[in-house]
Amino acid sequence: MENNILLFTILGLTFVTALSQVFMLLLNNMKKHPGIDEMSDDELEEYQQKSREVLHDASKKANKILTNAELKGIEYIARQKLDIEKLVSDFNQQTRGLEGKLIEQFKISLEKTEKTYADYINVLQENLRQEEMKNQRLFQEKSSKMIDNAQQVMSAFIMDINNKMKIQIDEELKVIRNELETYKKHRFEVINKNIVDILEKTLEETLGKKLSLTEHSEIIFQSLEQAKQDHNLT
Amino acid sequence: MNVREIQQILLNNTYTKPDYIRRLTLIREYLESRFFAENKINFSDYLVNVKALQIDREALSVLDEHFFHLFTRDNVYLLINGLTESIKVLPTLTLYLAVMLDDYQIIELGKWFRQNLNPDLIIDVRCNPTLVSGCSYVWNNRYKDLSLHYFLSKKQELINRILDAYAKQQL
Repeated sequence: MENNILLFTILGLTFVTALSQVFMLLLNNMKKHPGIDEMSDDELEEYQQKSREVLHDASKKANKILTNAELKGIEYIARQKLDIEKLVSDFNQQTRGLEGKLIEQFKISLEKTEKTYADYINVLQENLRQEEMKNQRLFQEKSSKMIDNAQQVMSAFIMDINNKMKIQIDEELKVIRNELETYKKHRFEVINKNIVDILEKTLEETLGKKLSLTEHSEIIFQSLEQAKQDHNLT
Repeated sequence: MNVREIQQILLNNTYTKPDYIRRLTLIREYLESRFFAENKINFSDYLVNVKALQIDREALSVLDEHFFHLFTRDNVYLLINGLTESIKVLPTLTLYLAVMLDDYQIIELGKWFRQNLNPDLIIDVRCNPTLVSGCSYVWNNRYKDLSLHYFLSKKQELINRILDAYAKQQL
């Protein structure tokens, strides 16, 4: 773009230069031949014819220069274009080559990075595993210690509780034994008092249906005779 | 012969109130049939006809024609009513038994009581199963317990001693 502008600027200057030369030439001619008003019509016509010829030559030369300039310009542009295309293809080629190199380098560096990363991960894993084992060992030691402590405390506590409970149970047993003795005593007293009723009820259940009428009759007569002997009839 | 004498004849073989009333009813019915139905049948046959109890037949077998000639049409109800009323004034012994004995055993008891307490008494028998065995009776408004309870109570100390010995042995 800038080249195009430069080219057209050069062409323009060339045209202006040509025109100015033409005008200079004309002026020189006019200076050589001083006054138009003093000349005759034939001379004027001759000069006009010459000036026309000069102008025509000038314009022809100017056109020629312009054409040449245009052609040169076109040639320059074409050359430029070719150069640019070549440049572009070179650039693309260079770029592709560079791209390939870069990709390879990138691949290499990626592999390296991956390898490094894998190594780093392995190292990390190994560290973690060792740390874990260490923690596990520490945890086991601490928990064993804690369990031992707890066992000792529990044993002491249980023994203490056992002793206390033993004492308490002994006391309770003593109280219970006393109560049992009292109860037994009381029970025997109650039984002794009510033994007759108890026996009566027991015998009612067991003998009531077992004695025959004859046996009943015998018992009645025995009791009456006994009462008679004891003078206890009335 | 008066009511008292007739009653004495009846009471010779009758010891309980129900027996007395039942036999008196049989006599009355027989006399009614004899006087008013002109039934010539004798008393023994009559008892068989009416299906009287064996014990009643045995007890009333002692009543002969001489006994029935004491009754006439005019005095039959007078005497019967008199005999019915007189039972209320008889000395009554209320006897409680654990089981109801049979008639013969009751007769034996009746004989015993008349022999040992009062020859004129009549027995009112009741059943009291709570006695278990033995008997009890009410005589002259006094209750006399001769049941198992009485004899066990008499031996209470002995029973207690036995129980204590047993308890010591076992415990």
